[in-house]
Amino acid sequence: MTASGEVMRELPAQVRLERWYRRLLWAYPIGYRRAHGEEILTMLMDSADPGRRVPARADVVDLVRGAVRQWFRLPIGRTAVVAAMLSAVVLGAVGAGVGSWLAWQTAPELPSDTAALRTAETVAGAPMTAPHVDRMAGRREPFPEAHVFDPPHERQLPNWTLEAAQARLRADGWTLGPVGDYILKARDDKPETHVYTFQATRNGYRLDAVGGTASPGGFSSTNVHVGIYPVPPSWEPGAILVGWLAGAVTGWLLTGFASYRLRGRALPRRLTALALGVTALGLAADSTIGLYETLADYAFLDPELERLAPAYSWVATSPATEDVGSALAIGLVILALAATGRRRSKARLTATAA
Amino acid sequence: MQEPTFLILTALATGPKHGYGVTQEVAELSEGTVKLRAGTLYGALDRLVEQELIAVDRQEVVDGRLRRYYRLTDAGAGKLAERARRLRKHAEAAESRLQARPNVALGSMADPFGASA
Repeated sequence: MTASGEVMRELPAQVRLERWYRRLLWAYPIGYRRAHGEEILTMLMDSADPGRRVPARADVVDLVRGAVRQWFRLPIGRTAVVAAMLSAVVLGAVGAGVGSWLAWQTAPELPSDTAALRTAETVAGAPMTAPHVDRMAGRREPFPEAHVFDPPHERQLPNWTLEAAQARLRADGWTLGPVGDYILKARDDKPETHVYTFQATRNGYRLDAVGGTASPGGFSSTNVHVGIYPVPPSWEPGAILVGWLAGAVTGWLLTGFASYRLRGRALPRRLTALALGVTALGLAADSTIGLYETLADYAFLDPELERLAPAYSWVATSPATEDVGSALAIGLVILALAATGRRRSKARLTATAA
Repeated sequence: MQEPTFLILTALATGPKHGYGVTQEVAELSEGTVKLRAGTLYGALDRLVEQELIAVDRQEVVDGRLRRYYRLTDAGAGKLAERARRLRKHAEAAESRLQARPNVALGSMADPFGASA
């Protein structure tokens, strides 16, 4: 046995028990602990069985439950409840977006123009005459993608077939995915076109290819488009969930803090905070709704068939970044309004987290 | 108003009490069926203070331990009285309906198959 263990054994049961209770009281918000910690401790010690050295399990559960309730507690009235729920919804969306963005930082970079063109030519089966490589990352596009196509011209890829294109990709190490096809009827000066779509994956990338075969004047001609993009990281849903929980809890707690503090402030200050809150909500509404719609798409749509925008695009791409950033800045102003200034004279003993 | 809240207000009706005094009174009033622990009790007391149904009466330090006494406010007494009236009314209604209840159980025991002699 260690020396400290011997000292602990020698301590009177009451002292040990009190230490345990004091540690448990740390679970409470600091403001509440300052206001009520000592009287709660008195009651705990009064009600403890003689000779008890550690708290009863029921007391531990009750204290922890009381502490959790205290953290999430809101002032009486609907305004605070509605404000806390809206904050949780908005900051939950921001947290989910941040989680998604962090997950995407582990996704592979888009292939270089040369590598993307090489893959597109593997699909085409021949060098492209005047290839365009379009990169859709870092602009207002939510999809990180390298898109390669050859502008249509006569006698383009005269012998292209879907099967041969798939065989070339398989030989290049790609794993083939779903295939689809449909007929695009002749319109204006464009002939009827048989459109093939297919997918393939390799080393964290997904490839979506479209081959449009037309036969004007009896000569077969195929135009190929190839999009290459990173496969969504497998841990993105987990990161979204953790981010959402962290954001929602933060939103609730901060609203609880601000509500209790604002309750003791003058009416003009409270009205200003309310107006700012409504403004912040308006700024964040579009991104918040869009993000939850995307999360619903994640849950209900088949990612094999539908290309879904990363959830972070609602928070981390323009103009959402500016809107959400402004809403968060306004939130900070509200917190500053709540935390500063003089309280009204009527003092009450309440359980604020402040 | 939930039962623990009703019992806390009732416990404070006779005069100011500290936390442990309230739990003892509540246990007695409920004949041991409601045992309030510290986390629950102080959560409820704090909420009642916020609602201005009770207030801090005074505080004392005895043997180095802080005891804060709570008292029922006039608003709390009014609320408790109103609640007690409603409970009494409901209890009376329940009793009168129970007395008017036909003795179905006995009747069916006497003639379980509904056959007449």
